[in-house]
Amino acid sequence: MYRGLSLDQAPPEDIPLRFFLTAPIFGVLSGLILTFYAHELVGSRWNLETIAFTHSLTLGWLTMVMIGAFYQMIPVLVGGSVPFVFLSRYVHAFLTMGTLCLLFAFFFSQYISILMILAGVLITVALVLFLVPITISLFQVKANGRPTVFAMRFSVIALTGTLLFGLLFAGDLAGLWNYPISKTIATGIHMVFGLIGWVGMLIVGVGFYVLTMFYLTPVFGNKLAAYILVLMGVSIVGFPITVLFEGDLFLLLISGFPGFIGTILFSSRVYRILAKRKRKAIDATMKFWWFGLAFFPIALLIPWLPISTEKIDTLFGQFFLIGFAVSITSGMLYKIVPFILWFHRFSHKIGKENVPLLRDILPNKRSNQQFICFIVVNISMFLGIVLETIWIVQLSGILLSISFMLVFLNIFSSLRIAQKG
Amino acid sequence: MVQNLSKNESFNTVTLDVRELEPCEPMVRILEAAEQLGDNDRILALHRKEPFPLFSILKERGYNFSTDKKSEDLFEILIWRTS
Repeated sequence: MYRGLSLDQAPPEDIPLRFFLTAPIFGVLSGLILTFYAHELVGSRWNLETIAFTHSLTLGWLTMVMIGAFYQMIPVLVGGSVPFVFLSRYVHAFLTMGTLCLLFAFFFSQYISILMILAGVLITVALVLFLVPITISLFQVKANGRPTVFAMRFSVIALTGTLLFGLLFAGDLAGLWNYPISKTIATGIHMVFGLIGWVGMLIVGVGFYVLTMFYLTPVFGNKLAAYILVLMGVSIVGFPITVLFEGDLFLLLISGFPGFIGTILFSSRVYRILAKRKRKAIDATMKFWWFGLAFFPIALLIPWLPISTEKIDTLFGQFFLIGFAVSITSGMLYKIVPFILWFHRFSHKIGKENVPLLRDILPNKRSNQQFICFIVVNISMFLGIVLETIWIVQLSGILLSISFMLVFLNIFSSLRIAQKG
Repeated sequence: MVQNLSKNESFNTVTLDVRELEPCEPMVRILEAAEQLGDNDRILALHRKEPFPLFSILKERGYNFSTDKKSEDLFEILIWRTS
């Protein structure tokens, strides 16, 4: 039976692009923080410089890219439309200013109180203006038989939880209130919601859909996708509850285990379908997927390794944030940006004149160079942490800045190529 | 916007299988073929995904369309000119 569809167009190109052009700048900043504060970063995760580094990556890069992608994915992947889409420009402005205030707060401790309050207010306003319209659009579309929609819904709920626990810290650091629960417990919950719920769930959900589309792979399989979502969901809810009630190591393992299995199932299935793809050419975006996927389950194993707490924290940070999340979001960016530019600037010419292909807008050579730089970042960072050699960690910081600078230049050059037509 | 097609009407249907093409080539092929459509012609496009961006362009250019999900990686999209 045939059914009709009525859909709004994708958002204006400036909306996602402003997020995508800002994110690499925060990435460069992350590299600089790592270079200048390498001692503090490998010393403890509680150092303010370490928290600045992680938030420069998680808010400045990951959340910035993911929010920009959300505005594009709702109409393109889900077939919905985002109400009050003009608000996204305020989301971008407030998120940028809020993240900057947060980073400044960690480095200018004499102004920490006022900067934390500013950061808390700006980031909250940004995320509320993002979450409300996106949640409306995600719950307006039918999710039946579409695991991507379920994952996206879950991820925005997890972002809400991450924000609430983040505000607990901001208020405490601003001197407004004290933690109602222990700092370690609150951090644990904040991290699970943010990293696994917001970042991990969205990457998994989008992966269900886009791999088939981009690389002509066999379908991921809705049944397996549903199992993975349930397994991850059980841990994203169960692990924080166990942490909150101060469950012992055994209970922590039990509550985290389903999510770990979910990541194994996801990664192994993606490797399998990529191996069976019809499009045999290997571009940089696929390499980012291959590379990043390996780190997903491995990162979750690190906290259980019999090594020092400092090493666990730094290795987990590298493996999850950079190895997994930055890798896959970079690969996705190289697919999304050319599509946006192509769609807005050339799709109306189809059938009337020749139009370029996506690979003409962002040549693979450029993204490949950045991928190689990114690999060297990961190798040097890993060696620096394991060998406890600060200069190698600092070197990885410089390379990380260069890598993000290349991302910025690549996006910028695709804008220029698309301009010329 | 979308009209029901009467089974009695006779149409020349061109089948276009774009399942093995990379994005955005399916959109290019379908829109190029759509430009050639006569009043009694229609395109039956076989697609791996539900191409939402294509739908918005079809609407803009004054085409009607309907989709039918046959399986996880087969969507049949019927396209014809608005009368």
